[in-house]
Amino acid sequence: MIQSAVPFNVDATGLNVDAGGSNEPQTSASGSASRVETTALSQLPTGAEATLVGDQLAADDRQILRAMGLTDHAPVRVCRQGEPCIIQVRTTRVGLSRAIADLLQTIPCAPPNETAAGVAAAC
Amino acid sequence: MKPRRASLRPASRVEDSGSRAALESQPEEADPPSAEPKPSASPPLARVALLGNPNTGKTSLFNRLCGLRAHVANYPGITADARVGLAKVDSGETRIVDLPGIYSLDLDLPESKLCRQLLTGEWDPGTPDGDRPDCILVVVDASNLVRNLTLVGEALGTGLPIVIALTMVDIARKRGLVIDPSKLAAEIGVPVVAMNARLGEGIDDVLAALPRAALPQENTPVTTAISGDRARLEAWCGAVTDRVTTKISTPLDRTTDVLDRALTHPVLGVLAFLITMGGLFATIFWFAAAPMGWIETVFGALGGLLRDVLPTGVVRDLLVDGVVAGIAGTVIFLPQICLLFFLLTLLEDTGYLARAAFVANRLLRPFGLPGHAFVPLLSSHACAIPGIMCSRLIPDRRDRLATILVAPFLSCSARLPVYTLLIGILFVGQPLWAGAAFAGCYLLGGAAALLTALMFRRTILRGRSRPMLLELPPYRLPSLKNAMLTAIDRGKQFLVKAGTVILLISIVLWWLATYPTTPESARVADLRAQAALATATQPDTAEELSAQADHLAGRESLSGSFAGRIGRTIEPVFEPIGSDWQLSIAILSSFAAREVFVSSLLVTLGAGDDIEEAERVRDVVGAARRDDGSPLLDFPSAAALLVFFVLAMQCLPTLAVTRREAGGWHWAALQFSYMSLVAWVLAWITFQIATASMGV
Repeated sequence: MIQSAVPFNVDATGLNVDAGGSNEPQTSASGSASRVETTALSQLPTGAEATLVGDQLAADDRQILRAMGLTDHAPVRVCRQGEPCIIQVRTTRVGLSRAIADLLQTIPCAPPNETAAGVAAAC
Repeated sequence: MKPRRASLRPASRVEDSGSRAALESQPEEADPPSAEPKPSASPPLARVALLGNPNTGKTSLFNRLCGLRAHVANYPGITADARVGLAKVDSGETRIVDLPGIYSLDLDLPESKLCRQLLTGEWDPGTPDGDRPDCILVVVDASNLVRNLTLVGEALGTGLPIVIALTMVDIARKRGLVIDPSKLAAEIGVPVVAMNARLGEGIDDVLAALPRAALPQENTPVTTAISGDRARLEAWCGAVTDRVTTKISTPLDRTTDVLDRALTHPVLGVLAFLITMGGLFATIFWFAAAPMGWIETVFGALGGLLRDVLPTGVVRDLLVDGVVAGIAGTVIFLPQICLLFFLLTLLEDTGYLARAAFVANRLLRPFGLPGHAFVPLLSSHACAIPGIMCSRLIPDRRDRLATILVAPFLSCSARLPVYTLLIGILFVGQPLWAGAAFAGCYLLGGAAALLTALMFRRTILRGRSRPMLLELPPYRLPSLKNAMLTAIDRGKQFLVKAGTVILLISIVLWWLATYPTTPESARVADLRAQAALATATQPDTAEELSAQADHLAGRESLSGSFAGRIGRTIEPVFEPIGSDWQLSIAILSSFAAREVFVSSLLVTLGAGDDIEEAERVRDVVGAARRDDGSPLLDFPSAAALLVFFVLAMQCLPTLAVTRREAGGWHWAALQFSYMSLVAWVLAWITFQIATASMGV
């Protein structure tokens, strides 16, 4: 679930991540220690795919974002980076100002060979 | 997380062994457990609410169901409306309420509030008892099922039976998603009808399904999901989507990527934006000119006919100068309004407008306005009325109010005759200076609009600017039918709501300018006597003398009327900006509509209001004198008057529209007050500087 500056679980990967973007090791539900790097949506390159995992938005912005389909673990693809940032969430395109993209935390989808090393989550 | 709302009244549930008939398609699998839909108890349905996300084809479906038999119902106090129409069904007629497109019933937005209140029976257009709809027809975009099902869940939470119209099935397939409507019906337990509103496919099936609107049975996964929190509802939506969707392999949509990057590019995007908007407004100017001319001609002929047919007197004057002139003054705006909304709807349908909003956002955000404000502000250069009306495109209330309040600063076409006259007097035989002055008027208006918008956003409309966040709909061919119906809707709305106020104001102004009547002076009588004597021998001279008598009588009549007396009373207000009582009367009458200034001034000067050539008007006004023999309009007073007309709020129809769109007369009063104040102060400064620089 996307919450502001509050640590939350990422069920899909079994990892815990910090919405503020810190990369402290966390303990997953299964008890194993893992490390996950979160990246602001605005830092992903065009064409990158990622999973939304958190945000630091104001409550009303977050509510609208969720209603528009940017929900927990929603898969996103960056169609255009910059101002505006255009992403595809599932099958919908959404344009965001950079101010919003800066506050959205994602876990980038890693190439298959990197996933095994636990650097980033597979999507 | 917000808890789910409880139903406000018991939903109609009928335990019916034949309830499977309510399904358009039968479930094919036993697992996951299917929820059998239960039809509502009381067909035929009297009221159906049409609910859906934006860009789902909801309006296309409404237009197919109701066509022209629809009207717009404004929700009191906010800028949101619902269209109400009648759809023919076998058992009679069903009233359909087309609610605004929303992402969620729970959002703190005017559109969501309107939907909530209609579904709970707190507001129902045209029904005093405020009863709830009989069922909800939820339009669901098959290409974005997860998000759309969330709204379905919210709709079920109201306790009203629902039918799902599944649209965009073709687009979903292009994106590699094949949705099975029968599985979806079984999962939710309500009828699901696949349809294509644009092509008119499945419309009859939707109508046939309405009487079988249903609620899911108790203690099923769906009822558990809608009674839980938002996270549970979203999880259910995701799970259902997975179960009813078959994924097929399709290539990535690179064309949309390329178009999006180009149309939001800092250079290419701005270029495309300027070309598109330039084309849009050039089209409005070109195409609206002819029908506006026809309207003028028709109403002119009607006024002339009434003048000829009816006997002289109050009734004739009221009908010709009050009612007909008032209706003409309203209808004249109709071509621009209809064309603007027709073209904007086409543009919106193509998917471009959402991209353009991001381009404009870069230009306007420093002044506290969102990108959405560009179209309203640009269209205000044609006329502030359609500009203010299309400010509904702006989602945030503060942004929308700021746009409405500053839109009339932008130079509209009604100011052009005044600019032509005053700049002609200021720069005789100096076309370069005259051109620069014209450009300066537009720039001054634009600068005033942007700076006051910034001022409002930092004072009475203070608050965080909502960051741009917009769904970018797929690029597609626009629907001409939808655009035409929208244009007709907006035109009707303008005529009914604003037109009545405008007509009333026009009649009041006519009365003020007509009464009390002044007996003709000895000079007028003398001119008429001379004309009568000359009729037999010198008919041309007689005609000229008669015309002089009419003009003088008109001037004396206006001067002696309530409007004239008010003009003399308020002369001290306009004296500091260089105007005498004659100009004061013309300025006062121009508060009804700016273009009235020239004709009122000519009447006041005794030159008649039927001089059409701009040069002749300029000569008459340029040669006019004040009571002390000095020129009526010297350089300082003409320059000050020009600045005043650029900035003043002199259009009652615009104030009427501001009242309606902003939600109260207090906004219109504020707009009138600060614009008039800004205009007067800057005109005074201009007058002082010009007087000092000329050594007058």
